[in-house]
Amino acid sequence: MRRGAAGRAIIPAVDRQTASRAHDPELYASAFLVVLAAAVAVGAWRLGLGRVHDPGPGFMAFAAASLLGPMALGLLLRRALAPPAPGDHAFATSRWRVVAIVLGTLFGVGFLLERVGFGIATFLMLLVLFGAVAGKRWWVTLLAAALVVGAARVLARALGVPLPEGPLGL
Amino acid sequence: MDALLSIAHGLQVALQPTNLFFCFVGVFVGTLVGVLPGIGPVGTMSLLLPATFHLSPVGAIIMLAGIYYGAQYGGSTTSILVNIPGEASSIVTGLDGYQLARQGRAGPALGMAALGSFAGGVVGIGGLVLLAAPLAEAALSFGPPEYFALMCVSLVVLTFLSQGSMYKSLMMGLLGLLLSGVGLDMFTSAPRFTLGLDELTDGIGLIPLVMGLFGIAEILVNLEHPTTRRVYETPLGTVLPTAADWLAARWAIVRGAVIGFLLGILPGGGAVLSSFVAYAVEKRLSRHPERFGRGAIEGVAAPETGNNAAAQASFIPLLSLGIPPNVVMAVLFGGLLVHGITPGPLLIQQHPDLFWGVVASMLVGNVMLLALNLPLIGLWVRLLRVPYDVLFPLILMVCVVGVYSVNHSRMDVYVMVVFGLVGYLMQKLGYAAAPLALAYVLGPILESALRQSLSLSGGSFAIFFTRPIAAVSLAVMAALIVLQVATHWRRQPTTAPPGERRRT
Repeated sequence: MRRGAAGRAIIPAVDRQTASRAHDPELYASAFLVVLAAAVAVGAWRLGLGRVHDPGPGFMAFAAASLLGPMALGLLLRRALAPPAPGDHAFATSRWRVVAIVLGTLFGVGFLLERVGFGIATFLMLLVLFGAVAGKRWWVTLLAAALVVGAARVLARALGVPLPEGPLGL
Repeated sequence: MDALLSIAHGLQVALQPTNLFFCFVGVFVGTLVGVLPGIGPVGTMSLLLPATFHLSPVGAIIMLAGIYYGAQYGGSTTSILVNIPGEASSIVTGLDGYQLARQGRAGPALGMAALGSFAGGVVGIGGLVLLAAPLAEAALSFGPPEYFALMCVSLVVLTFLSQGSMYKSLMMGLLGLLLSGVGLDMFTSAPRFTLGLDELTDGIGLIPLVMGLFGIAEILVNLEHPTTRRVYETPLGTVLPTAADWLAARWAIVRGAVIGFLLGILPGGGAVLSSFVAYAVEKRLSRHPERFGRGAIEGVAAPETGNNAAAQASFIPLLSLGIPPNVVMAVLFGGLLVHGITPGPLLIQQHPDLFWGVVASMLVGNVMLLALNLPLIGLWVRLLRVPYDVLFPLILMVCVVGVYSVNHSRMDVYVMVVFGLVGYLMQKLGYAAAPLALAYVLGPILESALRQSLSLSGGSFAIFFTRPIAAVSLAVMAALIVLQVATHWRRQPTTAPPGERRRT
């Protein structure tokens, strides 16, 4: 590979285009929608489209998928033929670690909620969020999580919202 | 005269102590979420929906409605003092409001925002009183073809008015229709797209879907840009605008109220669009447009009046036709259904207490908001100093509690997480979430109307073109699509900038 004056690799324009196309999230998004529409159309067909005077359970889904599929395909083709400029990336500012921690923690709470009870599940969730995402000190994290869970318990009871208590009654 | 008697009856309902309390809770929480960036009325209404299960339907809807129009008031505070809009509908308020704050005139700017909002609210309620009942009466003659056509046009108008690409918005509308099909078929009870999961036989829950798309996604995006909110340090002084301010803003308030009301009725219109249009109109009509963006009081009055008038007006299509014109109204639609009330033309006849009680409560709520926003501005300013990294774990916890308590189902929490990721990706890629959510709500009614229409006509699509209202609605829809396609061909094709924030 050739190198420029600053020692940086000089990537030929064609390679840059191929590279940006390969990493174009828009391309993946429209491809996903094409596949989704096709899968729904097949599923709807199997459910039964019925007749025009008596539409079946798959009629509406088939109609919507038949419109969505070609539209997504159009977007896919347009994006494939005119890839974005290098650096023009929708996720350039994304903090995937934070996204993964937040969503993973929420998923974990869903998993634990009925098994260990609301108190413990949300306490653990707040420990992760205050500690790992917000970067608070350990004692602030512990104190804040305990206070918030306690306050939430009181509020939920006041509003009459029943919450799972788990084997420890927490 | 009838309207006056009805509103008097409504006031009797709204002034009952319990309803007054729920109205206060609604507008207080609304102002709070309006002040705090990162949590909006859609998410808050969804969260509080489970808490309303034990309330009377009137109290529940009064509270949920209060959150919506309360948020319009609260959103202006952050715009003016921090230049960070608490709500999308307050974005333009900050252009001049923040400049006024820098010039030491934060008090009059906040006062004008509150008083303009009040004026807009009163005009919106007046229109609601005058229009809703006749519209509902006319809608009684609507059949499935009219409803199908009206819902189609609602969806297309919403995608047309969404910021960014209409093409992508239309795609999201279609995706919303697909998602609304999950669950048992309403005519044959055949399970559709349930992936073999029992939890999906009732379909995907509206609350987890909305919470994910709007609540979780918004938090994930906000966490990317850690902002330090520096509240503009200026003595608030008097919050009452001067006589010169009133003179400058009087026509802005009148025009803002009219624009907001008209755009609020439109599907997809709502508070955001009306605030932008009201501001643009004022700037265009002003003899000194160069003052805008440099601290013109009209630049605060017009959008704030517009967004509150629109917030009230958007209740008209929901309460009289049963068609929610925007996502907030879609959540309220869900709230009414939860309480066993079907929004539509029969609502006024069958539940006059609810209809007139809610309308009158808006009047009461707007007075409460004036009291909350003028003397308590100092309190809201202090709230702004709470850092976001303390707020977001609390918001997430409330999301989990709210979503779980709807059905006591873990599946709902998982659905919220999935749609949180979907919403985040959509925001980053410039796909609007509002058409998806609205299509999801309208989907079952749309499908039912379509299938009933085709059964009625013996399979002939001509039924949609031989009935005047349906034909006109579909013609409007076709015209909008043609207009958009023509505009697209005239311009160079452009795509939404990466990471574009969609606000509808």
